[in-house]
Amino acid sequence: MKKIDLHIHTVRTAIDSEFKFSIDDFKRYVTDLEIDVAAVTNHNFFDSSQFRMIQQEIPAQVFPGIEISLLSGHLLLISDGADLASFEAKCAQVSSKIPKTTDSITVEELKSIFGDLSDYLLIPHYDKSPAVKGTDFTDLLPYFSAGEVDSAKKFVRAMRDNEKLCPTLFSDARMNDGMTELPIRQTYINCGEVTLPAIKSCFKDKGKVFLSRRDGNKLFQVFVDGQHISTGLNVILGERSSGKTYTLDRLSKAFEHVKYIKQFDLVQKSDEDDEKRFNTEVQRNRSRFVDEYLSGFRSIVDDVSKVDIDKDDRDISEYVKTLLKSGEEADRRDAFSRVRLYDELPFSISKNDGLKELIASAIHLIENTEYRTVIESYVQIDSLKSLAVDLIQKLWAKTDQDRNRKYVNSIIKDVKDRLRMRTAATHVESIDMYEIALNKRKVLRFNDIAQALKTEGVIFDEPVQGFRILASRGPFTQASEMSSAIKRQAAFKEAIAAYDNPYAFLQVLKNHEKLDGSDIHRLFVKITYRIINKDGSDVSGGERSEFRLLQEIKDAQNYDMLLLDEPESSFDNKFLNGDVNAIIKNISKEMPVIVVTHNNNVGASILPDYVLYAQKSTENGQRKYRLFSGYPTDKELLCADGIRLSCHNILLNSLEAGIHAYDGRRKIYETVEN
Amino acid sequence: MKLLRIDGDIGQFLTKDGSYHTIDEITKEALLWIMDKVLDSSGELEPYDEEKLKNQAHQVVYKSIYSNLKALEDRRQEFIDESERLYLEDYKKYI
Repeated sequence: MKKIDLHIHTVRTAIDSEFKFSIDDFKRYVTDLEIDVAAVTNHNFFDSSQFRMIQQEIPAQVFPGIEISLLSGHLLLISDGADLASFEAKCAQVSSKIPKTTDSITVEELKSIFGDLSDYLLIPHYDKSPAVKGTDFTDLLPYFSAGEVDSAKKFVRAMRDNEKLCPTLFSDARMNDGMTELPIRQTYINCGEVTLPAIKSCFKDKGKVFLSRRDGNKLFQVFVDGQHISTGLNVILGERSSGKTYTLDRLSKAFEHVKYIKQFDLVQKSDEDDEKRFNTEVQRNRSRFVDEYLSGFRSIVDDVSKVDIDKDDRDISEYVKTLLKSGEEADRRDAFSRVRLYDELPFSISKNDGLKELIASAIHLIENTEYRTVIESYVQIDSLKSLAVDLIQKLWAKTDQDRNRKYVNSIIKDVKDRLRMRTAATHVESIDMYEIALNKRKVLRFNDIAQALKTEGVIFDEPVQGFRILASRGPFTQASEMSSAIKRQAAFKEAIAAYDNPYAFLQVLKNHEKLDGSDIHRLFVKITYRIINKDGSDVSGGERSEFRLLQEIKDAQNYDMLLLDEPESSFDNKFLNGDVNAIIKNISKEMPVIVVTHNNNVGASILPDYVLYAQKSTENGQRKYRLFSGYPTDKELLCADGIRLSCHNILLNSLEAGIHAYDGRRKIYETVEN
Repeated sequence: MKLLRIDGDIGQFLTKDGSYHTIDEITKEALLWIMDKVLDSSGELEPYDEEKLKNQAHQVVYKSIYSNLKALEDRRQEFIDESERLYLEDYKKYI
């Protein structure tokens, strides 16, 4: 079995953050982590002289490689190193095509530079950012031997999926001078002699690629001292202050994308604060739903905001006034104002929205395949096609006509403007009666909708892990509630006075200096949330904590590892043994979960895949922390330094307060039962 | 029922109380009311006729108002369709 890391950086390029290469640290990494095979893969760059030096100094087999920026993502290209000069020349071509960090090369350019890609080992960023995707991926797929992932969770997931490329986990580390935390992301391959073809052949058989040396993909390394944990469910046991939380802290630092639920994180501290925090969280998580619910209303608000009824009113007034004045002057008209075009109205031009929607509906009917049989039982598709063609021709004709009318309107306007300059006659302001009438209807309908939105009702009822989240709508009753709705301090005293008349209210909001357009629609309806328990009552403080724990654990699905510190600190056994254990067990099938506990319900009943035991001792006056680990069925748990402890004793001492207490409790239960 | 008519040689408009007034007395409120009636199809517009209307002031006022209302009447069906569809999806969602 060989431990390999084929993604290592030794030169700081434009893409990298600051680091200073150290051959000694590279050596330390390879020695301490017992790496058998490495590859140097700098960003779009290869330096043969540095590589030769590395080859001589590093106690492992090292391959030359390069990490290439393709349009969609990064690709590792590793050579067998037989002709370093030629490889360096090819890499120099890559460097010249990628002068800036945002540049990349195409697959065609890659092929033209490196020739036959099957001579190399190609590993794309796969379930890792920036991933090679789209046509870059499909074009290069025949040459890929494996795909790089960035966590044990993703490695196991790809391993289980037959459709996925063989996963590899590499450090992607910079061999930085004074590196404090050595990287622990490597892959094991079952390979004899290490050649590029042999490695490629291993990757073709997922059964030869592993996360750990001894236990396949059941375990993976987490600390430099060789400590492994399960890719499933791990339980950390130990006395108080023995280093359990410290172990979780170390794990959270050593890995990225870790969900860490700390001890007492979810415990209720003060009723008021807790309720406020809880409601804020629930609200935040559901804000997308509310945004979606109000999205239609938001468009209406945007549209109605453009309507100015007062201006329409003034326009009509102005029209009547100027018209009557013009009438009075009728007998005094001059040659200019007597020109017919002087009194001519512009053509009223339709937007043809109705016709456009009709065409879209006809096309929808024609193109729908799901209900084709039903549609055809009423109307022939050919008839629908004829209908669509007729409607489209009608639209073309109307569009032509409208174009001509617009042109005529511009001529009329021009002539009228010229005549107005020469005549003393009153100019009659023109009005668009259609637009004015439609604006009135818009306001009426907007008022109806806005008022209806205020009627109390449940708009959202989501069952979540035994609880139910209800979102309700209703009217605002106080100005302060409006500030909370937009999560911003703003005065709404004046606005709320107009709240009963939605259009008038909208005008006040439009002129509110602290509001921007994106907030206005939220101020018409108050959305409130309630979480109710199984009995239909509002949740208690304890239930709130339970709900939050379940939510947090569920949220862990978006991460690569879940750390959970003593959930029993905040919850009763019934809850732990039921809901919590079930959900933890479930999630551990998808990702590594590490639970610190003293509780036998969590520690034992949950049936962990792996047990870790933290122990503090004093040796030669020095405090010493040890971590023992093994499968629950193992007789002994093993520490990295070779010391062993009885697994049975650990479980009894940690979870049952020792064999005597356990026996004592057992006898009490037997007595009670009898 | 005529919303605009030429009675003898006088241009007239109908008001809310059912009485007719000469066209040069029209107000903003009266015009808005007639617009609603045109869109409700609850009245007719007697076409402008320069021969009948002797009064030049009536000619100017009647012609303009008639032309505007006629343009509105011509688009009545479009208006009905458009106002029925106004925010319809959201109307159904929220009400």
